[in-house]
Amino acid sequence: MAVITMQNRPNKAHKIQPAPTPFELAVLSDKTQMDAQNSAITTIRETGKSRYQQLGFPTRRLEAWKFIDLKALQNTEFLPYPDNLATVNKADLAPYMIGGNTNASRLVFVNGRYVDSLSNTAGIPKSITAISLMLASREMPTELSALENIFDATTDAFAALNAATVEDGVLLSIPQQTVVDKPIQILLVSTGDSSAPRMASPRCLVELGQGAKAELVVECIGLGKTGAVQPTVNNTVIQIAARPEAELRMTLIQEARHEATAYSFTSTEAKLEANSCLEMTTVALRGGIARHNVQAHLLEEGAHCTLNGLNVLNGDTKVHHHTEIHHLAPACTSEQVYKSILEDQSMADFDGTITVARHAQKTDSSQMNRTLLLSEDAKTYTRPQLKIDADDVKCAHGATVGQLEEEQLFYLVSRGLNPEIAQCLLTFGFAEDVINRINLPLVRQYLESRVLENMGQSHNPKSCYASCTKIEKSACEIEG
Amino acid sequence: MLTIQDLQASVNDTSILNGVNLQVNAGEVHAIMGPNGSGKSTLSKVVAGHPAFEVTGGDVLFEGKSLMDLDPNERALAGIFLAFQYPVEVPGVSNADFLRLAYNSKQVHNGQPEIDEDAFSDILKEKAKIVEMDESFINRAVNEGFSGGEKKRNEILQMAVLEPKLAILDETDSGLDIDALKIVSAGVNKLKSKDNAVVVITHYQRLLDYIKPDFVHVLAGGKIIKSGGRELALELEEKGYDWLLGDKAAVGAGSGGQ
Amino acid sequence: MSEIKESISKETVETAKSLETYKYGFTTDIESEKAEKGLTEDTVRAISKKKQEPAFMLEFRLAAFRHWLTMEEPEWPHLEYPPIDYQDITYYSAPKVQPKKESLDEVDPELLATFEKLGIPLSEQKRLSGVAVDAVFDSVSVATTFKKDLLKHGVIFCSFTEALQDYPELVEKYLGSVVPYTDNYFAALNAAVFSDGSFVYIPKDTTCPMELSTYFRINTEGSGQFERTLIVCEDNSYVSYLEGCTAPKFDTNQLHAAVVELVANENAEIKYSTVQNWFAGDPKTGKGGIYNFVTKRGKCAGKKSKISWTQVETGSAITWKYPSCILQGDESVGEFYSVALTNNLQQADTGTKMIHLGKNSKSTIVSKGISAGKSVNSYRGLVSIKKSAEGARNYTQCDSMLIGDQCSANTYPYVDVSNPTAQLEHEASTSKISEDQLFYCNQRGIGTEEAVGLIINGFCGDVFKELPGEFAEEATRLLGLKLENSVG
Repeated sequence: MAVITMQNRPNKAHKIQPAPTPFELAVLSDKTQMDAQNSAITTIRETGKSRYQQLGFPTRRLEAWKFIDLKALQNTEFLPYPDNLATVNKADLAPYMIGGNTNASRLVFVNGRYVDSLSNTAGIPKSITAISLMLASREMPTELSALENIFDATTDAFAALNAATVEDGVLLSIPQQTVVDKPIQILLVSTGDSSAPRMASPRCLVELGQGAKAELVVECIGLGKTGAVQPTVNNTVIQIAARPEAELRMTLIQEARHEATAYSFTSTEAKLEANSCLEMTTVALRGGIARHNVQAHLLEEGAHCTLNGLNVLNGDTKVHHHTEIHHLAPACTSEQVYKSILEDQSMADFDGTITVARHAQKTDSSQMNRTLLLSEDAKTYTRPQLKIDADDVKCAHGATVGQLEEEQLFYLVSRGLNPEIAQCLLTFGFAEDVINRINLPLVRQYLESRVLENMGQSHNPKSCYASCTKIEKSACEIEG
Repeated sequence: MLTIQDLQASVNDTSILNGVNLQVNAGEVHAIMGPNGSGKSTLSKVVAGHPAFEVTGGDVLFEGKSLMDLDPNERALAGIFLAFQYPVEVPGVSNADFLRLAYNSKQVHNGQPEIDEDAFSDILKEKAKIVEMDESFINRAVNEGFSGGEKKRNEILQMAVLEPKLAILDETDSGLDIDALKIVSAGVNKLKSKDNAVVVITHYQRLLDYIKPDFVHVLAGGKIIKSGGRELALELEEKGYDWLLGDKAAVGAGSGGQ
Repeated sequence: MSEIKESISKETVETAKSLETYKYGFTTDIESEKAEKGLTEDTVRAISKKKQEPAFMLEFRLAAFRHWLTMEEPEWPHLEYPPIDYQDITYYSAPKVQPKKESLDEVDPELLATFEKLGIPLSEQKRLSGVAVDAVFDSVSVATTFKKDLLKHGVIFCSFTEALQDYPELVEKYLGSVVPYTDNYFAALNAAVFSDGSFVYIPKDTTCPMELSTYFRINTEGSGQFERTLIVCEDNSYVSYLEGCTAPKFDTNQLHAAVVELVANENAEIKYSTVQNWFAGDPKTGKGGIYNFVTKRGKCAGKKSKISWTQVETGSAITWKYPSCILQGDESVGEFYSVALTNNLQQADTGTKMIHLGKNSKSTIVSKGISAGKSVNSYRGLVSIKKSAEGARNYTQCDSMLIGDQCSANTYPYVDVSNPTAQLEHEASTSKISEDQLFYCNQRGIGTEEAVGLIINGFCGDVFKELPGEFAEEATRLLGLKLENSVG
C-alpha cells in the first residue's frame, strides 16, 4: 500500500523568495549616490533596505493588501526623479494656500526634495527645528539617528521601501512646553514626468517634546501637469514621536490629478508616551490608487489617539485605509471614525485593527466606519477588527453601508426642503461630520472647500442650492 | 383648516388608524390623548406624510384641499408643521444652514425674496429668545448631542421660524423637566394666534395646564372614541382610560355620525 | 434565604464534582470494525466498496481525494495546533453490528445504554417526546427512529448509507451542490472518506411533523469522524433539525471533519440547531480533545426561502466552523445565531458567511463569544453583497465577553458591498461581568456562581431564544457547567 508523505503545514519562513520584480530591481538599485557627509541618511537607507528584504513585496494573499491590485506597479520600473525637473511655481500651489494666506508657515517638497523658494518658514518660531532631512543629516546626525531608532522595525513594506530610497524629507522638532498655535503645512508635491515612471519618497519626522502642542497639515498632491503621462509613485512616511503630555493635531490630505496612474502610499507611525495625544484626520480625494497606513502605539498610561478618515471619491479612484491602534499600556483611549462617499466606479476599503495587550486594562476604544454608496458601480470593503487580550476593557466597533437615512430625509423634508436639496445637504453633512471634528476653524474651512470641489455635481449642495450662502462662500474660495 | 375624514392607515400591513374623524379650525387648540399604542403618533406622521405609513382609506384635507397627493415638503410649505416626538439627529448639518434652507424654501413658495445669512441670523437670534435657547446652538449640528429638553426646544424654535398655520406637537412634553415644560409651553402660547391652530398630542394633563386646549379627544384602537372640552382631560387624569375602553365597542358603534 | 442559597451552591458543587468537568467522557466497550490507519486511494475505494455504493459515489470520492492532495491546510485561522498527521488516522470505524436494525430491540444493548447515558431519546419509551433521532456512532448511523411515521408524510429521514441505496438519484442531484469538494481542505477530505451521516428530504408543501435530530458520538480512539449531512426542502416545506455531539476522553486528539449541506427551495425553511459538546481536552494540559473542522453551508435556492443556523459551541479543543448561507433566491433570508464558549486551553475560530445574490435578500447575524481561562475565541464573519443583490439587508451584532485576564477575544468581520441599494449594519462590543452587576445580584441574595450564570444567560439570550425548548435548557445548563470556577 503506497503511503503518501503528507506535507505538514508549511512554515512561512521557509517559503521560497520570489524573484525580484522590475519594480524592485529599479527602486533598490542605488541610482542616487549619497555623499559621505550624509551618513545619517545612508544609515536610514541601509536599514530600510534590509527591512524591506525581510518583509518582501506585499502580495494580495496578505489580509492587509487583499484589495489592492499592484500587478501593474510591480511590472513598472519606477526611477528617482532627476535633478531640476521641477517646474512647479507659486501659482501652481495657489489652491493649496490654507485660508488663502500665502505667508502661512509652509514647507514645500517637490518630487521628494525640499524647495526653499516655495516654502515659507518665517512664521515658524525660532525654538522649533524645521529643516530638511538632507540638512539634518549633515548638521544634526546624532539627533536624527536617535529619532529614527524609535521607528526601527516597521511592518509595512512600503514604509521600508521609503527608507531604502529616501532622498530628502523634513525633521520637525517642537521643544518641550512649546505651543504652536498656527498650523504648519507640509506640501508634498509630485509632478510626474513625461519621459519615465517616477517615484518620490519623502520622509517626515515629527517630534514633540514634553507638553508641546502643534497642528500640522500634510498634503500629498499629484499636480498632474500636462504632458506627465507616465505613472508615478508617491511613497511618503510620517513618523511621530510624542513625549509625555504632548499633543499633535494633524490633517493628512491626499489627492492626485495626474493623467497617468498615480500610486500614493502614506505610512504614518506614531509612538505615544504618557498622557500624550494624537488626533489625526486622513482625507482622501480624487485620483489614482492610494493606500494610507496608520499605526499608533499607545506606549504609556493615559495616551490617546483619534484617527478619523474621510473619502470623497469619484472616477475610478481606489483608496485603502489600513489602521492599527495598539493599546500597550493601561488606561489609554482611542477613537476612530472613517466615512466614505463613493461615486462612479470608486472603491474604498477600510481595514482597521484595535489590539489590546494583556496588561492594557481600562482600555477604552471605539471604531466606526460608515459608507455612502452613491453609484451602482461603487464598491466598498470594510474589516473592523478587534484583538483583545485583557478583560477590563471597553471596545466597540461598528460599520454601516448604505444610503442616506430615511428618518433624516423625512425630518428635513417635513420642514419644507425639497428632497433633492435635503439629499445634498445630508450628503455634505455626512462628510462635514468628520471635518467638524477638526480643531482649527481655518483647517476646517480649507477642507470644506477641498471636499466640495471633489463632490460630483448631482450630490454637491453648491450646485443644488445656490442660495445657501455658506456654500456659496466656499465656492468663491475655490474659484478665487 | 384641517379636516380628517374616516382616515385609515397601516404600517407593514398592520392597520393602525381605523377611521379617524377630526375637524380643526383656525384659532383652535386641540389635544389628542390616549393610551400607548393607540395611534397618536401615527396620526401625526400620516398628516405630515411620513413614507412608512400607508393610507388605506379616508382623506385629510388642509384648507379644503386633500393632502394625499402632496409630498412631505409640499405639506410643510402649505403650512403644516410637526414637532417630532423624537427629533432626528443630523450630524454634519448645522442648525443655521438647515433652518435657513427651510425658511428660504418657504419664502420662495410664497413668492417672497430669499434672505441672506446675516439677515437670517438676526431672525434666528430673535426667535431663539422665545424658547430661551442659547445662541451657541446655532452652529451645532441639528439635534446632535442635544439633551432631550434641548431637542424639544429646538422643535419649537423651528416652529417659530417657519410660522406654520397648523402645528402638531407630538408628545413635546415627554422627557421635559418642569422648567423646560414651562419654557416650551410659553413658546407655543406666544406663537398661537387666531389665524393658526395647534394640535397637541400628549399623555398627561400636566401640559394642558400650560397649553389650554379648546377640545380634547381620546384616541384608542385607531379611532377617536370620545371628544369633549378641557374638563375631559381632567376626568382622564382622575379615572385613567379604562372606563372609556370598557365601552369602546358601544361608543365605536354609535360614533358613525360624529 | 441564606439556607436556600447554601443548598443551591452545595448542590452545584456536588454536581460539578460528579461530572468531573466532562460528563460524556466515557467509552463504550463495543466490538468495532476498523480500517487500517492511513489514507490512500485504496482507503477511499475500500470505504466505498464496504458500503456497496453506487458508481457515482466512488467517482465523487476519488475526484475529491485527488483534489485534496493538491490542497494545503488553511493557515489563516487564529488557531495554534501541531501539524495533523493524516496518515495516523483511522478513516473508518463502525460498531460490529450489521446490518442496520429495523427496530431498536435489535440494537446492541450496550450501544443503547450509551445513548441512554447521553440522555438521547433513542429508545421506544421516549417516543412520546416526539423527536425523530438518527444516532451516528463513530462513523456509522446505528439507528433512526420514527422512520416509518415520517415516510407517511413523504418525509425521508435516514442514514446517508441507506439514502445511497434507496434514493441514489436524490443524493446524486444534491450531493456537493452546496459544498463542492473543491471548497476547502477539510471539505475535500470529508468528500473522499465520509462514512455516513444523515439524509433528510422534505417533499413539496410539507411541514415536517416533528423535530429531526442526530446525535454524533466518536467512540473509538484514534478514529476520525467524517460524517455528511444533506437536507433538502422542496417548495413550501419546513423542517427543524437538531444536532448534538459528544466524544469520550482520550489522550490523543481526534479529527472531526464534517460537511453539512442544506438546500431550501422556494418558500421553504430549514432551521438547523447544534449543541456541540465534543471533548475539549484536558483542562490543564490541553491534551486530547477534538479538532473540529466543519463546513456547514445552506443554499437558499428559491424565492422567499429561509435558512437559520443556531449553534451553541462549548466543546472541542479546536473549532473551525462557519455555518453559512448562500442567499440566491429573491427575498430569501439567512440567519446565524451563535454562542461560542471557550475555556481553559480551547481555541475557536468561528462565525458565518452570508453571500447575498438575490434581490431583497436579508440576513441577520448574532454572535456571542465567551472566553475564559487561557482560551482564544475568535469571531470571523463575511457579509458579501454581490452586484445582483438589489435591496439586500444585513444586520450583524457580535459581542464578546472575557472572563479573567488570561484569555483573548478577537473579532474579524469582513464586509464587501457591490450594490449601492444595500444596507448593512455591524455592531460589536466587548465586555466583562462587572463587579457592579455581581454586587447587585449578591445584594439581592444571589450567589456569585448563580449570578454569573444569570448574567451569561442574559448575554446569550438572543441566541438561546432561537433554540428549540429542550435544547435551550441543555445549552443553559452546559454553559453553567463549562464556566464553573472560572469566576473567583
